[in-house]
Amino acid sequence: MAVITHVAPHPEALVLLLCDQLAQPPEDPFTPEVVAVPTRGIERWLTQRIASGMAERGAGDGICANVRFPSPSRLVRDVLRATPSLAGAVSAWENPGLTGHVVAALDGNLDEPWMALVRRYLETDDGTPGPNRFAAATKITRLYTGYARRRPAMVRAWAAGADVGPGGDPVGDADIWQPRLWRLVRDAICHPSLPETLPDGLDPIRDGAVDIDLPGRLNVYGLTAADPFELDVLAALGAQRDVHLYVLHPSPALWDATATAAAATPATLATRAAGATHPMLAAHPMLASWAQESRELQQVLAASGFTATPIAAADPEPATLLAHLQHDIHDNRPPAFDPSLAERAGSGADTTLQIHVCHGARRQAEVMRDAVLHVLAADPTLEPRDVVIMTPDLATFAPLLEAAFPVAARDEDGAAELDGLPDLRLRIADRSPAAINPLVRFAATVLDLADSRLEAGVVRELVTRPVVQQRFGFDLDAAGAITRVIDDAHISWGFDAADRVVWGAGDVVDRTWSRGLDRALAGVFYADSPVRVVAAAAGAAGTVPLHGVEGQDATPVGLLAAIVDRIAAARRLLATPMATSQWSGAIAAAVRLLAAPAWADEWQLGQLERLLAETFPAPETGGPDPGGPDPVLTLPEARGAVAGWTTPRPSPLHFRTGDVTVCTLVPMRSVPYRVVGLLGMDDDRFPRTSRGDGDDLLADHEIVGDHDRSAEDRQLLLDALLAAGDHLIVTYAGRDQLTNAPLPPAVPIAELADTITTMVGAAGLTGLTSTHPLQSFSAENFTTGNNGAGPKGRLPFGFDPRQLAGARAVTERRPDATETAAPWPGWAVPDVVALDDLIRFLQHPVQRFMQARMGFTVPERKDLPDDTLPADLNSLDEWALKERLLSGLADGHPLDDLVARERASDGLPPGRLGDDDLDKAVAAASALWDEAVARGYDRQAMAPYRGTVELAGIAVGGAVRADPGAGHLFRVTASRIKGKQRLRVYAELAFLTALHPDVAWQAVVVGRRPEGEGHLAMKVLPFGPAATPAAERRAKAVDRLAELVALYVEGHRAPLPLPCESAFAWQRALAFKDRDKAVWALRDSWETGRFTESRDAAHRALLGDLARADDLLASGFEKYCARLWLPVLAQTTEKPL
Amino acid sequence: MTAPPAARISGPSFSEFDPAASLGRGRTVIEASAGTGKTFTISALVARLVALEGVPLDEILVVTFTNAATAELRDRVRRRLVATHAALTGVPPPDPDEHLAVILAADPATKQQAAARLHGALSTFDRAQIFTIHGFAARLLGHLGLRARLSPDLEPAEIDELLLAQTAGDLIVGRYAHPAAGGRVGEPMKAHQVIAIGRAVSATPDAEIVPAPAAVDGEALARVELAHALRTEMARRMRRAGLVSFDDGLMEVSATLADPAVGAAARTMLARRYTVALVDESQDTDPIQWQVIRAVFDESRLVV
Repeated sequence: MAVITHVAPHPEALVLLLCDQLAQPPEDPFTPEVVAVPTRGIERWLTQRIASGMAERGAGDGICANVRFPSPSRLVRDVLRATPSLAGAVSAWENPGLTGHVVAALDGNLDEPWMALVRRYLETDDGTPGPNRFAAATKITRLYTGYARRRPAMVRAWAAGADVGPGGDPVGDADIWQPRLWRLVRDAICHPSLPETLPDGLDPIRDGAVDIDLPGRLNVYGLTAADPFELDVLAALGAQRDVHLYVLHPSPALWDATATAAAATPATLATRAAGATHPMLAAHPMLASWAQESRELQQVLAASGFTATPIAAADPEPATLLAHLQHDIHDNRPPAFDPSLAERAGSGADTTLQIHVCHGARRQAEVMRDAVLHVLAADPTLEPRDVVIMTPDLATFAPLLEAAFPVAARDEDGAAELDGLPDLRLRIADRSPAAINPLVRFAATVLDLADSRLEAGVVRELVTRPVVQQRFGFDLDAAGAITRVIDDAHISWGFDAADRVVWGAGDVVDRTWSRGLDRALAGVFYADSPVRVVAAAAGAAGTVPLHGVEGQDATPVGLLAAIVDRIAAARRLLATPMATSQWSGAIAAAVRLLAAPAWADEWQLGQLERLLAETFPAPETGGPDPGGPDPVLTLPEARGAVAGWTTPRPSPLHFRTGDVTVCTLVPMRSVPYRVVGLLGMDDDRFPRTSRGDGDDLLADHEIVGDHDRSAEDRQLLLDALLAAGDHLIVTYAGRDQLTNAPLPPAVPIAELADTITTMVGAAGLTGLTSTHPLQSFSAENFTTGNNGAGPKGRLPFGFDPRQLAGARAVTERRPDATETAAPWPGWAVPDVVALDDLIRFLQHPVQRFMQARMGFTVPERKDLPDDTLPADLNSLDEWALKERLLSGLADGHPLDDLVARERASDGLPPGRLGDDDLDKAVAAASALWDEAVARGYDRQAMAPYRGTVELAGIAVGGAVRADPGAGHLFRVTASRIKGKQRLRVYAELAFLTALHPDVAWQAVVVGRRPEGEGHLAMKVLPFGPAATPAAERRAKAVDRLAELVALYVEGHRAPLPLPCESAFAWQRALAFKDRDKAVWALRDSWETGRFTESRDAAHRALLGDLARADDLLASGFEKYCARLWLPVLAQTTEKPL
Repeated sequence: MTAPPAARISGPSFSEFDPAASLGRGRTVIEASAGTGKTFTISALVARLVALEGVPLDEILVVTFTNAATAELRDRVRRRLVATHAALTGVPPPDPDEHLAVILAADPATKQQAAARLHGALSTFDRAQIFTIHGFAARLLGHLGLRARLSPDLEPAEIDELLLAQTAGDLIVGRYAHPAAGGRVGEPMKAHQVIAIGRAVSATPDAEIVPAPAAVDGEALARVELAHALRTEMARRMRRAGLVSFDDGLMEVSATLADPAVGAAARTMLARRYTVALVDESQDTDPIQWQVIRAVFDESRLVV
């Protein structure tokens, strides 16, 4: 009966020992074996190794069953709970309810003078409670728990009433609250803490006086950073049963040297600064720098009385660089230059250690994939299951890996289009609940919604989430329709006017959800009308029904109303502070209001509920203190509490499934793999540095064995290095993605590079380092050369056929502009051209060509809605407002009604802010209107003229409205009258005249001047005065229409260099017989001026080589201008108003 | 930026910097224009401080002004320590310089001790305190713990343009849309004007807003009141999103160090933590950054 410690440099050696133990069956074959393991990944590996280990020795048939794998801390905790003398302290002090006690103690004692510092932290300037309380209590709880574990003597002194620090000296003034607050917590708990109970509390275990449900043999595998407290418990257990500790230590030689040196020193744990772990004994730099945890573990074990003789490394004669490096570390031998290794490394023949320098994270994922594919291709005995990829930043790299390994994103039954990549599957082992469970993400969202401004963008995003669509039963198309309702109703943010006040925007109802929904719902019932305002009571502006909803499917409006209603209900559920345990139910209810899992994913709800119960624990029901405190939490505090849901949690099922395992460095630490990839070893990702916590009393008194994040990370790296059987592949971001500036690797990787340089020289290091191009479609990636795989790049590096296609496309010679492009394929001239098509062609020939012949349109640049309450109107909105007013006036509505509707329809800045804009628009629209009326505009008198004009081989069909009494077609617009308006009325006039040549039709347009302020009346004269015979007038109109159609046909065969406004400017200036002036005007319109027509997307795409006016002129532009514009200009007059 | 305070160029060694001399106490200003090897000098000084004076690496603060410079400097300092260690253990330096000569000129016992110190420093190199000023502020917030009121968990972020536009829009609407009956609020200000004010107050969070609202009326009053409202509202919205501006951290450190209740203890605590500070590109330091560094290093050594 004893504690037996086994130390070895390689896990296989430890597993053999473990199997030796397990091969001897216990007295009662039904007693489960207990093997404590530090991580789920190691558990999975051990299960598999024990099974095969048993089969090998004939002691079983390859099955590992009836073995429990608790974590060491779980094992210790169960033992303590089973011990009557300790169970009370454990249940009172080691449970989530401790935070509640701390909160209660903080709340009740803020007025104490010694709490001044804490009070300053918890309160805002005006003495009201700030948002920090729960987070502070959580932190204080963490500190107290740590003190109890790591410095029990200090806590015992606190219990005895002494305000001392970890060194035994009085604690400073700034920290005096810590022991005092602790005593208050202890008084509230009414039970001694573990440190007070412990010295004698373990005696019953030692004496065998308690009945502990553990077999006569305990195994603790893979101790890394041992907690002295846990070791004490294991030692006590060892008095009655065999406790086997299996310890990995990188170097038996260093262990021996340290043991010899330590024999002379007393076995107590010194402060870390004193250098008690003999770093100078570590002759290999990796052991000196990376193995602090292992070195300290030996000290901690020694201090607990556990010593061992390590099993020597059974390394075969090393052949490769990696093996040499591992051998040196095992033997604690300083690295030395080896010419034959150097030669092999320098020539690229030794690929066992690879360092890949990449740009950014995405390229690292791709490079890691290709590097793994290369080693798999080079060695047919390697399987994906022999590969592990570890990264310090899984949250960043998991999605990038899924993208780089296209199959990985698919689930197990989705067999696979491989996209041309070799089939290499990934299994990402430890991801956060938030990353895998959309409902967990949604819970965080709903907490965020509860006191947010409820911006339109938030709901726009919400309706795209599958969990919301499942809850309300709609699809992505419906989501698009809902989004359009939100946009059309001008909803910006805020539930209602009261919501606005909270955010300093005053009592303003414009563009809130309640107003927008009223409008949308009213719109379902009322036909569109420019003046309708419903429910307008005295003093209330009333509701303007939303246009474009009536007569349509009302589902999107109904869904939106339901969703917003549910959001309001969820907000009510979460808005008020409540007891910790109530939050769990409230959040679950709020989530259920708005989201539901797919039917196959019901587990998501279960996981969410478990997480909620864990995060917001109900008060302890058992134990000595039933009912404990259940402190009230505010919404921000609850939000802070769920922040931890984004930290990864491993699940054993996802390790070693046969696929490539991807995980952080922790879960598979020291598990042997033939290929180990280390991804993302960037200077800013690795190692984690401890932030330094000024409230941690132990921070300045660290002793050997204390947790140290950066030391832990380095130890993990060492474990990974030693676990690699055949290959160690390291990638890091060595170049900035934007500037290409060199970036240093993580410090430990630089140390590794230094050691490699010692072994194989600088040339050797260069040989095993690949510097990758920025883009995966770079030609360099697919040629043999320095970056290729194998001896000095015998093979190209890249594997991805899509990227290869990209590389080819980039490098292949493209025809330059001087070569004649292939002619556009032929175009079948249609029988009928719609008049409107013809006009839109003339207004933008190249855009129509793109649309009609190439089948795509360049969308107009539309700024994304930014959910800002507008304080002033932009020019586009101003124009639309005037057009609406003009159109309302033309329909015969009184101006006052139109204005009232505008005020109530949320199109304007709210309240008085919109007054100026509206006044200006009303003035401008009225002035235009008066001018139009004065020139005989009468919409009521307009009649539609429909028909088809037959031309040679082609017909033009369409409809035009005109006033037969006045003999004109008339337009009034808030736009500037430039080329586009002229062409439209000219074409319409030609069409109308051809249809009804009896009347000498003319066209009138009233609008804004092309430049500057003021209005303009433009007239297109008839195709022959009233005296002209109708046939002659018709012949002329048909002739002109035929010319327009001819341009239309030409412009559909090839892009026509006839940009509307530039052509107009050119031809107009040319009318003054001054070519220089005309060139100047063209340049201003096409090449340089304010609107620079050549920068239009369609022009850039198809007339890109004519972006200079001179090139345009050389392209036949002049000829086309003359054809189109000379007759138009000859027939128009204009008069400024 | 305000001109740096003249008091900076003081201290015992305002003269030609002599690398061979021993590193004295007090503030030393190294004036050097870009490209004259300040990075080199700083890394050489760190190596000397560690090797000859036994200053632990994590007590030497190095502050630079960009993330890129910080990364480069970390790499340079580490290389320098490696090279110095190599030189002390018998590898002849490829290009010896004055700083290295000082170390190599020491007696054998000192050299052996220096090698041991460098070895120790290299094996814990990520404890090196090489930061941007804002990184330093974040670290200080951690050190200060509950003494500073800003939780170090808040994420530092740039001022977001959309947030600014939204806040400005809200405040304009709140102020002008429905003025109280009889209240005179004047002509509404334009969104771009208010956004400009918002940008100004968030870029200089330590600047005082003048004049006092009581002293003015009309548009000046509107501007002052909006400036105050923007500052409060922007900070509130960022805090709500779990963000702080980069300068908030510095401001909080500065306020804590000056606080009558906790300032003295905080200063002592930080001074104990750092022995020497090396500040690169100090011409770029603005007053608040300078104030923080001064408060921590009043009595200790500072090389700029």
